[in-house]
Amino acid sequence: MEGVSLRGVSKRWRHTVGLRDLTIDIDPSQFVVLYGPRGSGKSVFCRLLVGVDRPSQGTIVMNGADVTHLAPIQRGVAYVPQTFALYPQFSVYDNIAYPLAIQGEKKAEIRGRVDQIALTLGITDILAKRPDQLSGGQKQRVAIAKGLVLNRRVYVLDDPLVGLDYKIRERLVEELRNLQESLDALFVYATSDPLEPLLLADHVVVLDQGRLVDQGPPADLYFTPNHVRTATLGYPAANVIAGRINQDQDRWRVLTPVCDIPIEVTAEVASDQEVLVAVRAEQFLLQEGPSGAAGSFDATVELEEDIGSERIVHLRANGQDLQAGFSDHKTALELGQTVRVATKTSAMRIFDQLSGRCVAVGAPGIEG
Amino acid sequence: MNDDGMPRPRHMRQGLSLKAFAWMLIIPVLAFFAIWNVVPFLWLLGLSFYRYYPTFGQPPKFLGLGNYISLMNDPNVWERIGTTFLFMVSAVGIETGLGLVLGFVFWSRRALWGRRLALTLLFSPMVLAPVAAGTFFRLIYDPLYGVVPYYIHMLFGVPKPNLLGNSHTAMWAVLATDVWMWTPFMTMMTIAALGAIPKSVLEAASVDRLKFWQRVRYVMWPYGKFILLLGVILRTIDAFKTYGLISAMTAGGPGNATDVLSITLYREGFVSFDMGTGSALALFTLFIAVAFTSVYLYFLKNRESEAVS
Repeated sequence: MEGVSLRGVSKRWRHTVGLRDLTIDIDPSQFVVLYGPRGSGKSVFCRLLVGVDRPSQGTIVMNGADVTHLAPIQRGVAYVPQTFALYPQFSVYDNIAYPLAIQGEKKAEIRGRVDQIALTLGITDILAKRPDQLSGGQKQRVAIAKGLVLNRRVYVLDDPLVGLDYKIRERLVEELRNLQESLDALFVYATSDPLEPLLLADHVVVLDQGRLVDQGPPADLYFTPNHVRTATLGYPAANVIAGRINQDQDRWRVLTPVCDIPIEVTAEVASDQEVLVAVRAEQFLLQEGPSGAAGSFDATVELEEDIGSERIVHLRANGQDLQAGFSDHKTALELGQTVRVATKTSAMRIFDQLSGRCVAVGAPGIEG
Repeated sequence: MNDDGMPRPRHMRQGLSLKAFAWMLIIPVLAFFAIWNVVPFLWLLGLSFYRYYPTFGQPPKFLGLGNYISLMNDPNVWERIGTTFLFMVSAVGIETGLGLVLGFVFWSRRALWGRRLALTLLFSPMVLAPVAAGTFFRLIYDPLYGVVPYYIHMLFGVPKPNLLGNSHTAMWAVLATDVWMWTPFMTMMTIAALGAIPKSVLEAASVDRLKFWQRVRYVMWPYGKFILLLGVILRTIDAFKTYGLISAMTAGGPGNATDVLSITLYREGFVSFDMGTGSALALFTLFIAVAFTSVYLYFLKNRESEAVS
């Protein structure tokens, strides 16, 4: 089978756990983004794929061959590590060219490929410099170039854009996407940035505390997250409101400080169970006139943030801070003004507070 | 209290200027340095221009550069320097070689069974006093009761050799002891030097498929060279002035087979009580030691300038 499979892979050290019993099949020739906060196991995942670390348990299969115990040399995976690793004695050019030279590529071929990748990453003017003469951002781009210049079937990039300035990031995101398409290889890309998965991925894998908690195409995850961690994707991240399940005969509801939400239960839940409700900013609507419909509430405008195409209104409702899009409502709001907010309850997702798993979805209110 | 309402430091409250306070802090160290370093050094420098035997009861006689001239013209002194260099170069060379091999083994095999115990045992000779180790080994080499001569006798069927009593073997027997004592130091420096390599670069090298010697040359050497060279230079300076070990084992003999500069120096000064010649020789030795130290400082300076650029 083409692609990469992990079967029950765990990575433990004496006092910490990196990955817990992770099983996943990754198709070849796609852009996979590993998304999760610091310490969620993204880097561990990358290092196990590359082979610089070995799993404590489980097997890793790559293009049909069991590579669990193979050294990096034998796997043929290109790698851009999180901490950029350059050879201190070499010029930037030689740093990028050396792995190619080791593979026995011809000089002219090497020159062409290095120049090409340098152009892509905007480091043509520093090719003659040595790593200790570079800024942090330049080193990072050289490290990316060094990883991408190799001709491999699998590329592993461990948070390569972190800390780069906004403009370069924006351009590199696009270049990485193009590069993946033209190479037609598998890219595994780890990030904690909430936007990069949506911009880059064909398939997003969400990790939390060493567990795989959610995966799927970015659009699916954005609108129907199966784990509360997935709800942090995008900007602004979904509002997460703590609440409590309430059962009234056949009708289930979540009681939150903001409003009560009718729900349809999709997993086993108990009354009084503590849950988290995720609501996307764009699911809040400004409501004209009074109405006591489900999911509507009064809130105070705290701050209005205008980011050009969009606007984010910071609200406060019964002690809970919320961010709303109000995309349908273009008129300016006054600070301190009280507004009536309606919510598309059917688009809400309800997660168990402890496991973070989706246990219920919002039921349509009396919306229309 | 001053203008901004902050309390002043105590020394300022007591009317001491900052400069005076700073001097107050360094003076004890300076005084110590002057009494124990500068004065004896000047005394030594002065003595080296005189003929002076404290045991003869005659006043010192000024010779000018006489002591130095007779030292330079003395073929024995050059022979001693030759012996010293032979000892120093062989000791440092063998210790560095063995230290590198052992250091590599201990560094690359973290999971080696009994690694910690082996390291502890390996480092134990280093903490012994050289005189104690020398005395030890004199017993080990003893032609009648010694372990080494016994095994040589058993293995090669030759009569038990008197290793320290033979001018052909004495130097190598002493050298072997020095190697036993100081290889652990070079092992430690090797482990430290390898530990200075960023893990990420080593990993990159393995992903980039660098061969072992390529890793040594492009990854390990650039990052590890300073610590390793520091070890070599420290060991060189130390081997150059080895005294305790040789004094306890052969005291320079048999004949002058192991007569290194420090032994000669001791004999001139405290056996013959020829203070003038001893002092001149000491200054000469110091001069060579300073030369090594400046090599070390040169490397250290290079390191700093590299780090800055």
